[in-house]
Amino acid sequence: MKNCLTILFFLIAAANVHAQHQHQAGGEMMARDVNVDHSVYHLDAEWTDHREKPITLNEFSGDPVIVVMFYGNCTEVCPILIRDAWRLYNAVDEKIRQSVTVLAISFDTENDTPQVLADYANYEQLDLPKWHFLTSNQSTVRSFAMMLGVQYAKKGDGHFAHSNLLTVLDEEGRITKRVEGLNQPVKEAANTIELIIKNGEQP
Amino acid sequence: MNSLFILTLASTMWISSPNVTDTVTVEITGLSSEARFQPAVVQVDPGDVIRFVVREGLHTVTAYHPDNRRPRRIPEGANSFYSGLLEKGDVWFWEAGPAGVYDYYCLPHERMGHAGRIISGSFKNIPDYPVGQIPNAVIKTIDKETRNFLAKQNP
Repeated sequence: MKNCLTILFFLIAAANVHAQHQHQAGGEMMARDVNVDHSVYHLDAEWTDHREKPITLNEFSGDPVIVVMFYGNCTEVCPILIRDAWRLYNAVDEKIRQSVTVLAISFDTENDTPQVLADYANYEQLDLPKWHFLTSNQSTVRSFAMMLGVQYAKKGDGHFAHSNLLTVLDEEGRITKRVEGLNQPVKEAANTIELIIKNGEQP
Repeated sequence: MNSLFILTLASTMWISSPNVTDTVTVEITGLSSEARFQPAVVQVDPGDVIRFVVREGLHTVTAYHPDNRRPRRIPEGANSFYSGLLEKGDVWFWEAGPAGVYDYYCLPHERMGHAGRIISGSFKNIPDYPVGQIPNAVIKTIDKETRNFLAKQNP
């Protein structure tokens, strides 16, 4: 019996190591479940955008917001993640798109200064009025990521393993839609955004 | 023996017939700064199919076109293209459009110069595309690989 338990223990441990190895090799971390009743605007912290402007998240209340977390030095999936955010933004009806804000938040608080983010936004041709590339201190970024269910971890080579997630916040900062993975269909999320805007316009 | 000769002759004619589309393979190799399209410059006929095969890493094949938030470096009237994320073992096919030069890049590795060029039709009319907001590393790759390609055509 004792032998069986020992073998079982080693099998489970081996399976964990294998799973961890696969996970790290892919560099992708699955997003966690989140509480959709809470507003992320309760996070009372200061951010700085790529225009060096100090920002608090509750400034965006009243409009739908697309959030994407990334880092500028990423040479794997982040450019595709940013493209996905842009694809979702573009999928919203052009007549009401100006009501949508996009927050691209870096979890590389060490390297992604406002100037670096400005260069990134310019390079990606996304220095658009309602687009904000944001940075803050490490604990604020970590807290915000937890609220969104985004996981990230710095690796030995300076790069990050992370979740690939687009989040749509409603006019009060509650999570109303999540699109996990790369190159996913965005029509449903765009419909959600349009609904938020239309509901907000009703008297 | 005669029948074998006829069969060989017939198959050669079929392969070289101008009305039949050819398939050219471009391999995508390397990680990060080592990422490369091989060959980086290929010449095909309009309607030919290019087969992109990923040997390692995560890559895309993305046209220089405003649809991809980049300056246009494909012929007027040609459609933009984007492969989506390709992983090791993936194969992606693209059919060459109207005659002209199509420049493309890998979205994750563009800043490291991971780019390529497809010449559809004659290589004697390569346009001087404006550099615009394109990384120097890309221009360097495309210029160098085009020079190498042309040198092979006119040894």
